[in-house]
Amino acid sequence: MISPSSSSNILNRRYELPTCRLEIWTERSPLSEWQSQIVAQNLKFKLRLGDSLGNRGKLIKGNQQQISCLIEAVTTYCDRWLAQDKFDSLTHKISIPKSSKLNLSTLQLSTVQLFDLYEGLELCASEFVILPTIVLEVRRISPSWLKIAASMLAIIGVSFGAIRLISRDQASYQIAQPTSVLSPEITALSPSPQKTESIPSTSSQPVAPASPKTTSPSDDRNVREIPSQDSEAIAPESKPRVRDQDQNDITAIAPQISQPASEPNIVRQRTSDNSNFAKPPAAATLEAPSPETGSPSIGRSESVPTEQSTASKLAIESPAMRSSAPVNRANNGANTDTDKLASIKILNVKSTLPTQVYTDLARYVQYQKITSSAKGTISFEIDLSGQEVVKIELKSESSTLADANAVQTLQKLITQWRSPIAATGKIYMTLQIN
Amino acid sequence: MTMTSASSFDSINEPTLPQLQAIKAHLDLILIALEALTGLGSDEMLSVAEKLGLTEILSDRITLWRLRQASPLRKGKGRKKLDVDEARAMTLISCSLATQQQFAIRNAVAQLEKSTSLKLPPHRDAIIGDYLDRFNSLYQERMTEEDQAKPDAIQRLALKLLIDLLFYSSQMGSRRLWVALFERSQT
Repeated sequence: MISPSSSSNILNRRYELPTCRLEIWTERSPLSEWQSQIVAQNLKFKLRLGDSLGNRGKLIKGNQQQISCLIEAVTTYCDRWLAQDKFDSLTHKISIPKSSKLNLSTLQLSTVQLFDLYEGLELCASEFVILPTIVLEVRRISPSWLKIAASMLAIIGVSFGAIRLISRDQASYQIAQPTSVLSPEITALSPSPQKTESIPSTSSQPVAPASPKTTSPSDDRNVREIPSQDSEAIAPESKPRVRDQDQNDITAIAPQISQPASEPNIVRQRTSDNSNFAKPPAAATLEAPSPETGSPSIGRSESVPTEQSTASKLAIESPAMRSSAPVNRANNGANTDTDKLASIKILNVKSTLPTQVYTDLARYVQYQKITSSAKGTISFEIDLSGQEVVKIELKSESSTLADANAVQTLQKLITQWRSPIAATGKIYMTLQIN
Repeated sequence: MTMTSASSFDSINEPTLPQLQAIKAHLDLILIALEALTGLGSDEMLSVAEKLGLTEILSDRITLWRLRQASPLRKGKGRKKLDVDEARAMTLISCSLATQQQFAIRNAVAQLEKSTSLKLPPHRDAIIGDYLDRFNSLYQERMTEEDQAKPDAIQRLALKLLIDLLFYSSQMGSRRLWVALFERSQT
């Protein structure tokens, strides 16, 4: 069941085995849209290892990076152990890298404890995609083509800066420029507003900038194949993120971008602010790496020299835009340019039906495009029979949205939804319309 | 029994000849361990094969016997080949049976740990003792003369297989067994 906390949806799971109890709390990364599993974000866990007699043993708490190391260490140890023909001992010592802060650097377990721990971790890993935090190492650029690409970027950046200076008065021209810095793809697509309500057309905006930061494996691959200018761009922006305790940088940027209605506004804003848009990327992105150690490379578990971060901090916002585009080329469908476009946020979903059913509905509803003259909440009671919604009722006692048309549109859209699996029952859904 | 590990099968390349030898041996031994611990026989194995939809590969006792006979450790002549689909089928069957018997397996391992921690020889425990005896008989009855290892070695092998069975009795057991088969043959 998805239940909201103050600012985000936090999912909670508990995996209980005789000698192991694993509890996790995680946010649902926007990347989850592109995966069949939920991609974890800001995961925290509590692990209690007991013994067969029921004695409460060690309590281990940690974050996403640490559970990722734990999973990898345990899986590798067990797979290797199973592949052997002999065994020396029934006690297992597993060393877990990068966990010296917790009381976790070495785990000593009996065989049964190891089995339960492995089981718990695998159950968790099968439900969530848990990516290790990206930590980057900045290395010298060796291939000369990278240097060429870097200088190309400087030239482009500087030219745009020059063009902006020249055409300062022409507002429309200014709008065009940053979009092309954003990505050629966005410029191409923006004139033709999306007519169909397909999922990629809407949510991709929030996903795109987020993707370099959370680096799913597929994004990693995309990133590596992209010419280095983008990989360079991603790296500096990721570094401050790593340094931070939480991901405030990302959350600060993402919501700005995630409201499709205001996305064109953001672009205009940036332009008129004359802010760190076209120029600093050229300056910061390139100068940061080159004088020191050169272009960063995308890796998973490498450490970051902290001195790099200040210069590259400027590069946070625009590289995020720039690098996102090639990665999510198809998805940068223009959001419509009407300001009345409302965003739909799922506040609450309750149902006794299988998770697959109501999460599918939630996803579907989230990506619907409606216009609304007002803000507020809507609560529906939805009756599902088979794969179709047979009845939908507005719960006026928990609905504050004044726009009746919006309510009707939503109701119609929900009745058009088809459940992935046949089920019969009720779904209670509360939405926030902004 | 989940088939979630099916995708991991496709990601591993076709095994080489030495790999196949090690795989065949281990698959047969896993089944022997299951037989020794739980008394399961070919009837149960065939019934699981049917439930998993593997009857095209394995539908009768003769075929089952032939597949197990492919192990290089077994006595007797005859076809010693095992193709990847057959290995996969045996993996799925073994893990399905192990999952069914998880309670018994877990209990046995817990007893083994207890005996070991008390510094007692494993066979002193009733369950482990019976298991070791049955494993020993089956091994001597079926394996070739050259592979008649010393009793200590057979005992250690039996205990290792018992613990392996615990790990394979998990929901993700067939993935683990498949990976272990291929990792094993590397060493």
